[in-house]
Amino acid sequence: MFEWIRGRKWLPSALLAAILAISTGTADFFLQGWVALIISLFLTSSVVFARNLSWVSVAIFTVGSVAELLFRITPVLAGLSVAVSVAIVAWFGSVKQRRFALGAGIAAGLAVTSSACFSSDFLTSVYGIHLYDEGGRFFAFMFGSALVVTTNVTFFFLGRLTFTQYTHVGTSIDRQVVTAEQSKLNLELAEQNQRFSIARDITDLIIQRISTVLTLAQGGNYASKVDPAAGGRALERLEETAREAHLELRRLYDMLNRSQSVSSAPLGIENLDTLLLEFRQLGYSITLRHVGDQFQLSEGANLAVYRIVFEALENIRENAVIGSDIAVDFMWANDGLQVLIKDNGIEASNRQASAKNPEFVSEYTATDDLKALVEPISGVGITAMRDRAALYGGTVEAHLVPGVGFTLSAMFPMMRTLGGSSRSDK
Amino acid sequence: MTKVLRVAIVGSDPSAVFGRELLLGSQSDMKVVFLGSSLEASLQPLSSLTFDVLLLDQVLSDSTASGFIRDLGALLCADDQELPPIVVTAPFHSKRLEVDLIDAGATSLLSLEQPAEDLLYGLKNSPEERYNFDLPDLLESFQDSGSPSLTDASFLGVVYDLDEDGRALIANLRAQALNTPLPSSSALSASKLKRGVRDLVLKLGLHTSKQLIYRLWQAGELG
Repeated sequence: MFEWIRGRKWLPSALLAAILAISTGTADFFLQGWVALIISLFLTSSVVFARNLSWVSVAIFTVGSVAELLFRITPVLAGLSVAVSVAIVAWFGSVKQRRFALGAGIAAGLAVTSSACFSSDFLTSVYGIHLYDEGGRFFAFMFGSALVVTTNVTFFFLGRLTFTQYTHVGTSIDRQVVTAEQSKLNLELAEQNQRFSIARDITDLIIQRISTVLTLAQGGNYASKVDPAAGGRALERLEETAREAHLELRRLYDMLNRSQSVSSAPLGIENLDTLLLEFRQLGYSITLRHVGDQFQLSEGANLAVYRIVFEALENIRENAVIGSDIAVDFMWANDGLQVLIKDNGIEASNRQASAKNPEFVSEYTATDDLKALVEPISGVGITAMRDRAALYGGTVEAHLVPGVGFTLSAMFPMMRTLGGSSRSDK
Repeated sequence: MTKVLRVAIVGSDPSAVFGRELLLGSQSDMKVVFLGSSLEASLQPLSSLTFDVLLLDQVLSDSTASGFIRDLGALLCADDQELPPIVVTAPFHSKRLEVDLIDAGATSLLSLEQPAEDLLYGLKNSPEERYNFDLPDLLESFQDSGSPSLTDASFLGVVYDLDEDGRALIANLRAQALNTPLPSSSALSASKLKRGVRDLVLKLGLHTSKQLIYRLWQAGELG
C-alpha cells in the first residue's frame, strides 16, 4: 500500500476524503439537514489538501469549525475529518505545520464542544441527551474536551508512527526485497563454497602432478648423465605427467571462469528495487515509476541504464539532505526510453532550515534562475554518464531547478534498435 | 670399497617413484631395493626386507607418511626389529607436518622446493641424522606448530622411573632449553649429551633423538 501511496500525490488523499464525505456527510445530512451536509463536505475537503498543501488543510478545517459556531450547527460527525487531516499533516508536514495542525485541531474541537454544551440544546434535539443543570453541562464539556484532545493527539501520533514506518522501517515489499536478496546471497555463498571445495581438490591434484614433474626432471637430469637412454624415458614420463597437470589446470580454469560468470550477472533495471530500498533506509522518500510499455534491454544496455541511475542517485545522496523526495521515472516509448531522476534537495534543505530558524528566507532570486539557465553542470560523474549513454545513441542532461533541486534526464531515442534484447519483450 | 646404501621407495604416484628410481639409480653408492605404491602393498614386504633407509612420499593412496611410519614401527617392534631411518618428501615444507613426522619417528622431511642434491645428501646422511638434533631450532618448531597434544601416560611413567643418569640428562636438556646455567659438576659436554640422548632413545624404544625431545617437550620436562 505504501508503494501505491508513494507513487500518487493526490489520489490517496482524495479517495480517503471521498469515503469520509460519503459516510459522515450522509449521517450529518440525516441528523441535521442541508447546512450540516455543506459544512461536513467542507470539513472533509481538508483531507484532500492535508498531504501537499498542509496550510490550506488547516485553514479549511479551522474555517469549517468557525462555520459550525456561526451557523449554530451542532458538532457534525465530519469532525472526524479534522483528526484525519491532523494525522496526514503529522505524516507529511514540516515540524511547524504539524504543531500548528494539532493545535488548531484541538482548539477548533474545544470551541465546538464548548458551544454545543453551553450555548445550545443540540444534545437534546439531535442526540436525545438531556442536560438538566450547569453541573451536567460542565461534565459534558469536560467529557467532550477529553474526547477531542485524545482523538486529535492519537491521530497525530498515528501520523508520526506511519511516517516512521514509511520512511525508516520500510514496507512489506521492502522487507520482501531484503529477504529475496538475502536468499540470493545465501545461495551464491553456498555455491561459492562448493566451488571453493572443488577448486581445492583440483589444486591438490595439480600440486601432486607438478611435484611429479619436478621429481621426474630431477631423476632424468641425473640419470641421463650416466645413461642417456634413461633421460629419454624420463622425458616420456615427464611429458605424460605434464599433460595430466595441464588437463587439471584446464579443469580448474573452466570451473573458475564458469563460477565467475554465474556469480556476477550484470546489474540491470530489475536491481533498482534494492538500490531504492537502501535510499529509503537512509531516510529519503524515493519512488520508481514505469510509464509506457517496457521492452527488454540487452545486458549491456540494461547495465548502462542502471549505472546512470546509480550515479545520479549517488550524486543526490552526496548533495541532498535526508528527507528529500526523489523520483525515478522510466518513460518507455515505441523505440525510445527516457529516464528522469528528480530530487527536491534544495526545497527540503530550505524547509529544514526554516523549521530551525523562523527568520530564514528560502526564496530564490533571479540570479539563481539565470545561473540555472546559463551555467552547465559538468564533472567526472556526468561525463561518465554521457559516455555510457552515447554507447546506445543516448544523451544525458542535468540541470538545476531553482528553489527545488536537480533533474537529470537520460534520453535514448533509439534504444529498442541499439540496446533492445533479441529476446521477446516483457 | 664404498658402502652401498640400500633404499626402499614408497610413493603413490608411479611416475614420481620412477623419477626417484632414476635419481637414485644414477648414484654409484645407492641401490633401490624396493618400490612400493601404498601402505597395504608395502608394509609386509618391508617388514621382512633388509634396507638402510626408507624414502617415503607424504601422500599415499591409502595413508599418510606419519600413519605409514607408525604402522611400520609397530610391525617391526612386534618382531623385535628396529625402525630404519626414514626420509619423507613433500611438495612444500610445513612446520606442522615436520613436527607430526618427528612425533611419528621420521628422520627428516625434505621438500621439492629443495634441489635434488639435498635429497641425496639427506638419504646418505640419514643414519647419522637420526641422532642429530638442534635443541633451540626444534623447540621453536614445536612452539610454532601449536599446543602439544596429550602425552602418552606410559611415557610419563617411564620418564618418572628414569635412573640418576637419565634424570641428569633431562636436567641438562632443560637447562639448555631455558638457557640457565648448571653447576659444572652436573653439566655435560655437547658430545656426551648427544651420546646420552642416543642411549636414552634406544632405551625407551624410540626411533630418533628429535622424537625423544618432542616427547619430553610434550611432557613439560623441557620447561
